[in-house]
Amino acid sequence: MNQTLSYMAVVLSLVINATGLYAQPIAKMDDILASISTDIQHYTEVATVTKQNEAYQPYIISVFQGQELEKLGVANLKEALLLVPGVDMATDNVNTKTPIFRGSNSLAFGQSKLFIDGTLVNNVFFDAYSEYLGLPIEMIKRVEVVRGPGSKTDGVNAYAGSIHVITYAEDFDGFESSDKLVFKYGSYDYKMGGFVKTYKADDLKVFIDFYYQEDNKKLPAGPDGYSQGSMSAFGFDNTNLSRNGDAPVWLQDYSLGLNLNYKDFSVKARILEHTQGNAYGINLALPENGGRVKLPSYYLELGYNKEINNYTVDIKAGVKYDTFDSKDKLGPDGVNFIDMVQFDTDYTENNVTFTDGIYGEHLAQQRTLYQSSYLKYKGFNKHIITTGYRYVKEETVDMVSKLSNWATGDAALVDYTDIYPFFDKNAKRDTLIFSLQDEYQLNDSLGFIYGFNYEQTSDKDAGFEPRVSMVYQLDTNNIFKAIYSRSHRNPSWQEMYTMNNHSRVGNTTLEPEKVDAFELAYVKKYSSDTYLQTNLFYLLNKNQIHHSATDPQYKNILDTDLYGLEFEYKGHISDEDQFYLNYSYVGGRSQIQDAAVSEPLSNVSHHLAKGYYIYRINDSFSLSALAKYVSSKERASGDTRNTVEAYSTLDSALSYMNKRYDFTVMLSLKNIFDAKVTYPSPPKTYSQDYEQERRNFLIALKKEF
Amino acid sequence: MKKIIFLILTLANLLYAHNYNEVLLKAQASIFPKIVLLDKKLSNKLIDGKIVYTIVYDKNDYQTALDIRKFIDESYDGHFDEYEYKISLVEFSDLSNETQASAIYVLNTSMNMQKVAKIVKEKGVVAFSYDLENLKQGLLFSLLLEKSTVLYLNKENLDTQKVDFLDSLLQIVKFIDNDNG
Amino acid sequence: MRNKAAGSLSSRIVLSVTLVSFFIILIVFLVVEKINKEAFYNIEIEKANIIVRTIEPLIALNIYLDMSSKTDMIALQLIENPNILALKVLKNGKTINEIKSKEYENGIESSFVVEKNIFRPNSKKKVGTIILTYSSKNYQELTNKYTQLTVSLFLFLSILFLLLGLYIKRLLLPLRQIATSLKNYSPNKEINIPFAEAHNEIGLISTALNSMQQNILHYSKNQQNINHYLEERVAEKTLELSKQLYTNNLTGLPNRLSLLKKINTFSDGALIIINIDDFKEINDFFGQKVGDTILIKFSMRLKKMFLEDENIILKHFSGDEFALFFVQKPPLDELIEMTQKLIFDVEKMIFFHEKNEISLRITVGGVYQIEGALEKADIALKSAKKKGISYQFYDEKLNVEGQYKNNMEWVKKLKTAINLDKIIPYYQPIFDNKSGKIVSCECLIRLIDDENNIVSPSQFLSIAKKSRLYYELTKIMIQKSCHYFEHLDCDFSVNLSVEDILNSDVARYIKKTIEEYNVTHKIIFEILESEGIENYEEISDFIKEMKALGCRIAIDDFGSGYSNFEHLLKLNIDYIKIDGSLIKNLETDTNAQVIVETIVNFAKKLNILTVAEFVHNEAVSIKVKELQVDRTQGFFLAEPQEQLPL
Repeated sequence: MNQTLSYMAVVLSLVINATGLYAQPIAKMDDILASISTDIQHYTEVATVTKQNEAYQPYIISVFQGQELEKLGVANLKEALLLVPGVDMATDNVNTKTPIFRGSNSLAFGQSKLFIDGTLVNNVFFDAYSEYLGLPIEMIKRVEVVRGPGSKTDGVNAYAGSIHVITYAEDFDGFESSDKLVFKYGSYDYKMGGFVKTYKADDLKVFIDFYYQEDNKKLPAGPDGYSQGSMSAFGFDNTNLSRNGDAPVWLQDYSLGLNLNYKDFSVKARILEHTQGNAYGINLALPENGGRVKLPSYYLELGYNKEINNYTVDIKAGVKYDTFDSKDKLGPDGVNFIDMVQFDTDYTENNVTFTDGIYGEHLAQQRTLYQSSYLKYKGFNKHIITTGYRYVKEETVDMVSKLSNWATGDAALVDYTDIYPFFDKNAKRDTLIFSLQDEYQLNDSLGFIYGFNYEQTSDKDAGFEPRVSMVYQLDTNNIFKAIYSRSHRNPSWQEMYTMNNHSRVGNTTLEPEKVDAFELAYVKKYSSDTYLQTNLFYLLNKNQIHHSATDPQYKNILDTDLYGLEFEYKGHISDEDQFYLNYSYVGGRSQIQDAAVSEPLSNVSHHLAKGYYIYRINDSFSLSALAKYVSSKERASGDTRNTVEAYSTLDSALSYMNKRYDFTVMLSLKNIFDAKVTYPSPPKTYSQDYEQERRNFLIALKKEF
Repeated sequence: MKKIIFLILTLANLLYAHNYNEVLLKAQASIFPKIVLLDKKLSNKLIDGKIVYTIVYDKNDYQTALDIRKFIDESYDGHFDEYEYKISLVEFSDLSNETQASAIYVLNTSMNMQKVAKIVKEKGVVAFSYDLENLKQGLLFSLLLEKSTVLYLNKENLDTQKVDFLDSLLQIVKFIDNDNG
Repeated sequence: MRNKAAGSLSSRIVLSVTLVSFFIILIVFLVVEKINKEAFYNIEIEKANIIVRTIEPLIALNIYLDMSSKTDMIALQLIENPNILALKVLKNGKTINEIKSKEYENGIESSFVVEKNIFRPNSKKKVGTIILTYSSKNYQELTNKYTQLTVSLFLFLSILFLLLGLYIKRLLLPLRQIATSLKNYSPNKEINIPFAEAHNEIGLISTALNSMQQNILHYSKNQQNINHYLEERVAEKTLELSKQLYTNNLTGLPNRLSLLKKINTFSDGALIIINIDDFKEINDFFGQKVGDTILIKFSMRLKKMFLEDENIILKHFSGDEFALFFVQKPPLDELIEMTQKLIFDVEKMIFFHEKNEISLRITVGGVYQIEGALEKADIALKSAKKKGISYQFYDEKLNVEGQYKNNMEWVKKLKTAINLDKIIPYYQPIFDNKSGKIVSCECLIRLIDDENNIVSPSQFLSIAKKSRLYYELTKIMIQKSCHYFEHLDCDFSVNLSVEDILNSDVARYIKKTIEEYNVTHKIIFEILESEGIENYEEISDFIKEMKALGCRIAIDDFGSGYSNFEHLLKLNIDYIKIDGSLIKNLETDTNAQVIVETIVNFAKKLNILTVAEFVHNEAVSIKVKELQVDRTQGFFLAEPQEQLPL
């Protein structure tokens, strides 16, 4: 645009001589016009980065603004994600929660990736990010969720979806965000305090966010895994030792984030200390008091970003540490069993009785080193070409296995790190991803992004993965999109390197799960803030990794075809309100490889509907309602329990903002009708599904400076 | 609970405010004043040698109007290029032929836009609108954030006798007329 | 003649250089002129186009916004440009604006006309046309100037090249004179070369030629001698090598390669390959040296036998293999007769070594066609050896190739059967001869094929043994049998081969499985004796280990092999299963009766139970009881079946 204008100005002055008729000399007006064109570029960039003009871009994305979510009473990242079309939540016995995108492999982690200000934070152990799901909403400026593998080839592959959390560290000229202080109090004795603070001087910008939160949440669990025979084998029946009660799912978190920018250099760092209750027990025995799981996550990333003429260089290097650290009583008093250490060594069955129960300490710390360099070139008319690589080196740097004495049954811990490790301490993986992408704007109404990733790893390679996307703008109000992309999920550490565990058997020969995704979207814009988006998707998943109680080794055995549609409407009923509604349907079948058997999707809700309504009473008050419906879920074949029941919840929030003193008070009541919300438990674990929060409340107080 | 909701809803009907997109507001606040300067007949519209940029708002959007004024003041610091300017905030109900204005920026309202259009036409000043829809009601300029940032101008409302824009400006705007709505 | 050719060379060089340069220059000039003129044309047109493109949006806007005065202004400004002769704007086909310069109106200047459609802003809708007339004065002036320049440059360059040619010719003249003097040169004659004193390259050439003349003279003499010597050596070596390549070192007879070469030169013929049986033993017994001597003697005798017939060529392939190639095919019956005679004659031959008399036996494979003769004769030979006959002629009906195919198919079938779980055990009860009750069962392997036929092991077991699938079969049998008898109160026996026992993986599997199913006290392992047990130690270890678990051991097909009885009995076995070949005709074969009686007697002394297999009729059954064999198994009492009638 800028180029065209200056070109025109030159030619015009050649052809037509300026006359003295005008109030402003033409040359001066040209300067003003040039400054308009600069503004246009600036706001286009802001709008693109903040996804304001997402409807016109060749990718499918859902964007939620933090401040809007605050008004809805949404407390944290997890609750925000539950609003995304097609996203459901799952959990496991250590309360590792993970969003399920469009019904994709609901019992595996790593299907989706979480980025905080562009930094990938999935832990290496589970390839999950449950420790970040508690991130308070007040720390979040914006959540952008791409469902499916997406249309961009930018080095990191998401499989079923990627979540980008943008904190208030982001800023643009004219859009500086203020510092703030937040306190929250809620049910389960939830307490939270935090702040964000920006410091600016010339070329230097420092941003800090900090929060602390804790609660003492316990949720009803029902009879534990012992009742299902999780510790009954070799002729021993320990089902009578099963306990029944509440699962400790409490939480204690603090996090300190730092973003520092100096000229073209940047530093991003975060310390997250996350401690939680041992939930349903790592060995499926309902934990007694005192146990805990720690999932600390630390990262530091240095960046250099520079624009020189038509080139933009983006270089990053970082290190990340994440740890799985569990300490708990793993089995009740009086467990009778055989010496598993002995048995796994030479098949000898020596009986052992743990009079005072079984205790355990498990720790595995992983380090990720990464470096990436990308070059963007805008020199060709209508094309933006991006190419570069990302190199990642992941390895386990520390591992500890301590258990009660298997030979004697004595409860005191014995160091089994070397002789009976729970995890391979030599686990490591090197990954190199090369990518090339061209963003091609054919004309005003038709644009493309196409490119590929090529990934090589020290394990099984994913290889070449192409992506093509297209956006066609019939006019301002009717936009069509089509996307094809291929992606993969590399097996997680847990799936590859778990050792000496009879319910999870690691497999180092696993291949990546692969997906081919076909998506179509139609966006109808009624006005600048009202639209209806319809998506159709068809996903061909290959080599999905699975394990079960009957075949505990992780194997690439499932091929799943998924298809469905999503509607998303945002608008208003009257001038003073805001209305959002989405509905998604997913269907499909799983084919078990090497067996001519196909099964309907298990543990997947076919219908999801979410919506909210915010009513702006006046400049100060707003009232909102937030509703979610999740349909029932079929069990896996062979699981004779009843289907997981459908549920719907309704939340409501009242928010008051005082502009004069810049403070906000928010009061929200969640799950008003006290609905029973459950996430499925796999067969042979807990007989009841994992029950979630009933009716609860939250109060938030925020002061801005 | 139901009672509370009902009560609040009843109260709320008395007062309400519109939704505005912050990025769009700021983009318009940055760009529209510059467009005023590209009118070759601007000198006819000056009031006491100043550009009076009048923001017309609904009562409940007063805060929004204040925010816009603050933002323009921070960006322009008293001068649109070489001209001094004054930002005057006028409620819809107070708008009349007597209202001083070199250019008018119209926020959302539930009131009749025809009235505004009529005043604007008589005064022969440029009228900018937050909402694109108002161009059909007689206003001249609006701006939208599409794939790129797009300036819209309704050809039917351009009085070439009173307003004469720089040609190159007209070449970057998107026209709306009776043919293409 | 030669003189003329040499004389014209320098002229030719000069002439061709001049001509080629001339043409190149001419072409370059023509091309460049064409390109440049076009470029000039395009530049001027582009200038006009740029103007039209630039004013088009302005005019479009003015038309769109009904501001015709602005269009007039643009036109007036444009016409001030001396190159613009006229401008016409049409709106919907009607001229709305037209302006012409004075020069144009006077009709003096030639011009280009450029036309462009006017589109409504932000739309593809055509609203009018601009027609611009642009002066071509500039263009014409430019092209004229350019042509003048080109022609002068061309003439100048042509003259320059002509002069250059003449100068080169002059410079090369001495070379011609040197050449004339060299014309009569021969290595033995010295000549005088001119210009040796000149201080330039020609002088250097002359000097160099002079010294070369001296050296050549010297070397040419030496060279003649060396060449002569080398030629002789090469001829010798070539002969030797070709001899080695095609002859057998030991006997000096042509070898396999030579035969291959020979066969290719004939369109028909016959071949027999002669293989000395067990020649290795002669080598082992008497030593290689003696073996070699015998081979030489044997080859000499063969040579003698066929000396007279020119149509028969004797070959020695290697070691103990010889061949006779019949260049002229004798009638088939004659060939067979000849072969039989050969075998007979060889058997009569006696070779002496010290005091030993050594005689040979041979096996012959023949073929009565030339296509693939060598391979087919080989196949026939192998077939003869396998059958233990002294000769065999290749016959398509022999279908030796087919057998390989058959094997492959069976391996495939086996794999499929294993994958589809179609390997199943059949159970044949064994009866106690005193009580007449079932005391145990033998588990026999069966395969269910695609058509659901039950296939007996005789068809596939020997093939399976050659592949790794065999162990798979053993494992399946063990697992299924153990599973079947897990909850049955009946002893059962499973066949194991020596290979099974020696395979540590299989052995481990057996141990694990019988423990898993808790059948250690029921299972009996039948170890095949017929195969000849060699690795007693390992077998013994296995048996000890199994017996320690409570398992029992039977020796299967006892009396058929060559096992060492003493060793066998040390194995601490529980049962002897007397070989079926002894039982089959027991009621008539008195020799068999004696053997069975002996076995039973010594077994009784050692507290080993005896079992008679293959009891297929009442007579045999009675005889078995009479001979006091402890147990009976056979079709007469019960056939193998999928389920036991228990």
